Amino acid sequence: MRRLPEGGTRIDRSSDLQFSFDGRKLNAHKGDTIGSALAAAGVRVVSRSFKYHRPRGLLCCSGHCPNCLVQIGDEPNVRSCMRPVEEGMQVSSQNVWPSLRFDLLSLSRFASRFMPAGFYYKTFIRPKWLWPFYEHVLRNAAGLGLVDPKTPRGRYDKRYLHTDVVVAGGGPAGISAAHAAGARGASVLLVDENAELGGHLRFTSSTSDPKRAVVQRLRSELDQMQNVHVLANTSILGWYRHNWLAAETDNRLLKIRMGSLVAATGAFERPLQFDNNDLPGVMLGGAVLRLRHQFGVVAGTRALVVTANDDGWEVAADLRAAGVEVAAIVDERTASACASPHTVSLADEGVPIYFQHTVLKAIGAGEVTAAMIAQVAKGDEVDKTTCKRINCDLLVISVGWTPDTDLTHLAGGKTRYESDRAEMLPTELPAHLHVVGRAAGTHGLEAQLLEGAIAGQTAAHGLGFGARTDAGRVAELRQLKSQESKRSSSRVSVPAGMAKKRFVCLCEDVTEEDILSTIAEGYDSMQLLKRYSTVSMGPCQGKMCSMAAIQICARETGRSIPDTGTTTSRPPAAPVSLGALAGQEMEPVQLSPLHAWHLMNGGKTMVAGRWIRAEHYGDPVAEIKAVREAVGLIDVSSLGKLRLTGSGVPDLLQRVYINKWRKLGVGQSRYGVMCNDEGIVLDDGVCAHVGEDEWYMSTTSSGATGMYDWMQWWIQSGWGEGVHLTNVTEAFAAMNLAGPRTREVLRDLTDIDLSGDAFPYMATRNGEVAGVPCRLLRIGFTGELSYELHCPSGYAVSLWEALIAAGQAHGIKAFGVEAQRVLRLEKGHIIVGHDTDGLTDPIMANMEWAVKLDKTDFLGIRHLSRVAEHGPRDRLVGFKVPAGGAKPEEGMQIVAGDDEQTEVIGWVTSCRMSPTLGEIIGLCWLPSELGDRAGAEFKIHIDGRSQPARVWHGAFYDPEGTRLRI
Amino acid sequence: MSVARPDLLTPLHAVLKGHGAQFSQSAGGWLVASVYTDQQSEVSAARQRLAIADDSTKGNVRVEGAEAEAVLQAVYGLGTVAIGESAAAASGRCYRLRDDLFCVITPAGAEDVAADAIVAAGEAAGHGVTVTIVTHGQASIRIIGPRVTELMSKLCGLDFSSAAFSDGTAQRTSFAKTAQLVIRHDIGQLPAFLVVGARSGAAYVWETILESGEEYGITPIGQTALEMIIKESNERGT
Repeated sequence: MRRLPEGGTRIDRSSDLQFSFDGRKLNAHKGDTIGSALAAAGVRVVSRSFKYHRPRGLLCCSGHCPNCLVQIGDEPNVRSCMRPVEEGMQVSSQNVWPSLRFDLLSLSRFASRFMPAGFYYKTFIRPKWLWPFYEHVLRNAAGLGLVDPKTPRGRYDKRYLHTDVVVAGGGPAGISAAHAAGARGASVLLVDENAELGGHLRFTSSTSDPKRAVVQRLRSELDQMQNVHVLANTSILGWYRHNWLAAETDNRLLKIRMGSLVAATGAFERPLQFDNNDLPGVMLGGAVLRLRHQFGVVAGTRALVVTANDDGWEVAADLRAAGVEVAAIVDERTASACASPHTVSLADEGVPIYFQHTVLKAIGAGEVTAAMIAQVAKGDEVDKTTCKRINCDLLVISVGWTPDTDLTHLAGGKTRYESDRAEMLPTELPAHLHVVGRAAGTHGLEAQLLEGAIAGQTAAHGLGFGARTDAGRVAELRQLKSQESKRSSSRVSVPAGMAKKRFVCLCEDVTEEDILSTIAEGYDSMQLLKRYSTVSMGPCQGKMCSMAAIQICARETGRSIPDTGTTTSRPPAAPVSLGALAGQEMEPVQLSPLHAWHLMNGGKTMVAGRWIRAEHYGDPVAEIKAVREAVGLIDVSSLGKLRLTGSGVPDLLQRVYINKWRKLGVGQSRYGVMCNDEGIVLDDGVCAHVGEDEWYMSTTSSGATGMYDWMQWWIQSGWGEGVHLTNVTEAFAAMNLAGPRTREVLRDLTDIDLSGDAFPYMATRNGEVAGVPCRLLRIGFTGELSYELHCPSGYAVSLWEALIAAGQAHGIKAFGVEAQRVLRLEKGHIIVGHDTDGLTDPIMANMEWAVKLDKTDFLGIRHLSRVAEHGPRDRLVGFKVPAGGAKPEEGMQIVAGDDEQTEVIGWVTSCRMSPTLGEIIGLCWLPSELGDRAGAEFKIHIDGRSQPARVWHGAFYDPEGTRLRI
Repeated sequence: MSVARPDLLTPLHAVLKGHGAQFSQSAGGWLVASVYTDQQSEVSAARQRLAIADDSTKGNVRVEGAEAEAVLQAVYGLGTVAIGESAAAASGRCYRLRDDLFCVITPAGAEDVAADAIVAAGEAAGHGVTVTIVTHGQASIRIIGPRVTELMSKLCGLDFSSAAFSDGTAQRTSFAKTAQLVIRHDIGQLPAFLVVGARSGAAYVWETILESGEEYGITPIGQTALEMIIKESNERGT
């Protein structure tokens, strides 16, 4: 390969870049892809194959085949024919050892006869215990690039786009469609995976076709249209229900909502199956043209062109014009079927021409040095007596096109195999989908332009832009399409013995022999054949091989191609990085209004649902001591807070809580438990009657949204006539001041009468504290005298700091969630969701006292009535670990029986060392017959040993509750 | 016991402090970020690229009830307001979020007066509406500038084009994976959105917007710059 002295529409010859490939320093021009730069430098072997580690070189140069995948730094599987070279880029080959040229893993070819399709399903299943070893070896031998787990997170994000029409593909038909839809006033997104629009016109030979000028004009007019936007370098990944597309560009995932889709996705050039068809130097015609016209690189010095259509003759003429010796043109058609204008000129130049011939074999060690051709006889047979060896270093294959119908299928379109054309072409399309250009089997430029224009107009018209397309133009298109010549060979492989490997699927190293053996094993439907042989399951996702596999399957089973069926198109339709799918890191968190204070004052934070809370401030034991002996202050702003208004609130509460609410007076509050209609505990909290028709409910921190939705559901269903529910969780900060010296702290800050008589336990008052309007609830979770202060969140820091300052003289300490959990455990209080689960009813959870079965109705009454009658099967109870025992961890199992037969009978839900009591205490689930007996002994399974513990009923600390009522 | 009422801190106070904001007192007793670097460059960022400002001091009053529309009509003389649309309400604006739910956005410190007026009107007419001031529960982040729709489309699936999301309309939606009320509130010809959501998520949303807007040169601006932009727009009659 070499760089031509001129030419190359994508490169800037005045700008030089340096990069390295496997440590070798190479030069490139700005605009070069890695693949084109390697080709210009004469590098023919770019990668090794997946399974047999065979050398592979550039094949399609359009990002569809797996042959040019390389590693760039820590980024694996980069399509080198698509990625532009950057200065200093370090490119390496992947999955080779020790080097690309000398890859010892290629010795696997000697064992290939023992590795037919599906061999690993059969070979590595016994003995089962050896699988980890097999897996390790196989994963190292096969596969693609390396992912470095230490790779720093890249920058990825997502963007939503909205448009009337999306045109997928910027070839002539796509440009024409976008122009037509845009001209009618529709907003249009024209998406193309390449850096520039133009489709095949970017690299096919210049001709005098006046329609090329039309494309140029339309292209430049697109830039003037305000309502048309071009997205280059953008791959469409898939179509999804409700008519939206996923696409990716430059590490950004696009979600595109649209009215209509015009699929102008083009066609892939089809490889041919013959012996050694994967040797470096075997290239598709389009690849040769791309290198020549876009990058000024010729892919060889002596080329053999194998074709079945006029396109191959264009390639041959093009190579001649670039100074490449054309060793021969091998056309499987008869001379009379060939309409190429180049036949005469190439013959005049002495180029040998072989009609009704095809290629049997590529010859060469590591790269192509010659090829064997033979005459095509009847049907698919070849006449081996006509074999002829032709020396060449470039074997160009140009035998047909496979319309890219992935997007058509994903968007709900159906295709049918047209045997006259040997192509899968769209037949039934939903109203939002239009398929044009080569994707619709339209190869002529004039027809492509007309088809694109009609589709653009129709798409726009369907969305209310412009009139319906003139019927005359539709008829004109039909006429043009009927004149299209057959471009694709019906022949997919050359049945000539298969002395060497001939690859159907280059990604997975699936040979034609593998396909045949798979069919012989009975996997003769395309879906099974795909899964068993892995054909079409590699990076190209069937673009290169799917049609060939179908054709071989049809041939071997004697079925027609339509009867053989196809594989199912699934997204992603183009390679996409996992980073792009993951997008920008967005993990919403909730912070209390006091969060900054906690951080500034040594708070160690913890995650509680979405909330970030202060777990402790360095010494949770000291915090517990402060609450028990002096005073402590905890931020409980995360508690859910709901405002209920209306005269129907008591009725609503009566039904959603398990206890009674009708007689709760203004200024009073009550603890309540909510169950679902199956009697399972949903949430708990305190609800205060704060005004004639106004109530203030608190929920657990994690339950705020759920309880709001739950209550709203019942309100909307007709419960609680005229009740309005407002979630004010965030509007109010909340802090709990707890401890025997609480009144002394508050007394200095408020005029509210804090005496036990004036403000008794479970009462609520409004007033100012430190100049801040507050609602005070005399409630708490710690078992000490406590006031919960709720204030508008904007005042939270001021109020908190005022309380801390006032408490200094009384030994105040801020305490966190850890201290609170110990304090509540000492009181035997449960935490809903922590000590309970999705099967817990309040009777099991030892809250039988709250279940008022004499109410007319409430959620869960039926279940709870039955449980009350028969007794619960399990019981949540307290326990103590005898002195010297180990502390069980939460979640540990409680067991019964001996070493011979152990049965799990319960588990630990909460457990802490109580600094107040000097004992290990906890809550656990036990069978009722055991849990109901205070002092009964049971065993907790800890690290393979049994730890004895005893059942405890009631609170561990201050069981009479005198301290919180003082 | 007479103690002066302390300053109010917005949900973003600590975050803005971290960005170098200088604070000053504003209406309603709030401490607001008045300036970060210099007023002129902040104005220029908003006019030429993209700017972000904490606008959480705005009053926010929720009015709920089957007769809410009638009550608000009595107070503000509103016409019929469709869901997602808005109308002027004294010095603020009233948005209809649901058939029976309205949100009145007022200037800072004006929510108490607004709420009292609505309650009084409801009582006078015998209508059972619930009026709740939720100012303290909300964070309002204002994003302004020519590239605002590009930024918004990175964080939310709505169509932010002027045709689909016109000035004065609002949508409740998922924004950066959180529930937010997004209001289009252009300043003259300058496109702008208010993102109104739960106070506890404000820091996360602010930082996420900043990260997403980095490619557009997003710049935090203070209240002084914001007021200047609004004043200039008014003077231009836009």
